[in-house]
Amino acid sequence: MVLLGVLAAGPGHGYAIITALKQRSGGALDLPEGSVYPALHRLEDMGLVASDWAVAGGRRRRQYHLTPQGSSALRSQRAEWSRLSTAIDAVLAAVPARLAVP
Amino acid sequence: MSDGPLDEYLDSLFAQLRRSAPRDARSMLSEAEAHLRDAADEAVRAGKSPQEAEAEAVRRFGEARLVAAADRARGRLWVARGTFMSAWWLGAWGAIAVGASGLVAGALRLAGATNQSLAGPWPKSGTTASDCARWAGMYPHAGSCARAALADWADEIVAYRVALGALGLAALACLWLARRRWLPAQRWAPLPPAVVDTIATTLFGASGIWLAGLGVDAWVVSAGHGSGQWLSAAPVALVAAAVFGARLLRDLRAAT
Repeated sequence: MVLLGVLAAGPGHGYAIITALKQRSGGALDLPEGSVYPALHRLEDMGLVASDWAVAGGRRRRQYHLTPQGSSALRSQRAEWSRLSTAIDAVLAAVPARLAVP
Repeated sequence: MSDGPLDEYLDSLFAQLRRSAPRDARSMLSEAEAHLRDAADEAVRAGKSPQEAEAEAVRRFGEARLVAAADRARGRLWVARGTFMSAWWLGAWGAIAVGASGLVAGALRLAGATNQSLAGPWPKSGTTASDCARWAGMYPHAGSCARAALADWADEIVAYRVALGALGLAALACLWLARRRWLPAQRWAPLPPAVVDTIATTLFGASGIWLAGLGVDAWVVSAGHGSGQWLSAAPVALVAAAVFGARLLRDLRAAT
């Protein structure tokens, strides 16, 4: 979902995607950078993203972009995440104040 | 030229990707190289030495073994899906070939082939009085239980085969629709054409020879009784083998 979220802002190659992921998450999503490629390839297999090869900055790069199915999947996954996080927040709201995060 | 950490890493990744599909391996390696060089350039701009920058980029990329394994896992799914789709496609064409043999059998009947030449010989034992009564009801002008049974059998040979052919067409239509509706080009991943065409040529060719053998055997041993059921199918299988064989030759020429 987070990869789709980054690509919703516009097409990008792997390095740009992982850089955006780190920046937008404030460094919290600091994954091994190589793991992004198998994930992108899987999304492409599922038809959620598509890619084209292009030369940019003197290097041959694979640019990924969201497909219409990818946009639709992002909408539904986002709604699901929103429901889940709201539910968890509601549960945690009942935690005594002394156990809350400082 | 001495290899730095980045080139050593790419060599290692190349070795780890040897069991991946060649196209996937080439793509992964190309993307990894662009990524690592971008990361190293950025680290150099941030003040690191080229050697340190490459080492940092490699460390952040993750172990080559794990990256390759993650991509290979996807490759296994690709092979499973490709096998299923190719099997579906071949099965559909097999069913269509059976349907075509039903049409040939029907044409033989129209051309004057007897029920006995198509369906016989009818076993002399094993039929009950109720069977005979049913056949007599279906074919009142047959004249005997055996003739009525043969007429029923011959009808079934034509009708069941044509029905299977219709199912094959439906299966092919489903695959075509699925490809258009749900499977973008990247997901349409049957096995390589040369593999599929080799399997099809072998199966149709072997079936054609076997069916022709059964037909000739029935012609010689049983005075032609029942030879039509085999000889109506053999040419269809042999024609299919020839078509897939021609495709195979084209695949092989394209690959060289």
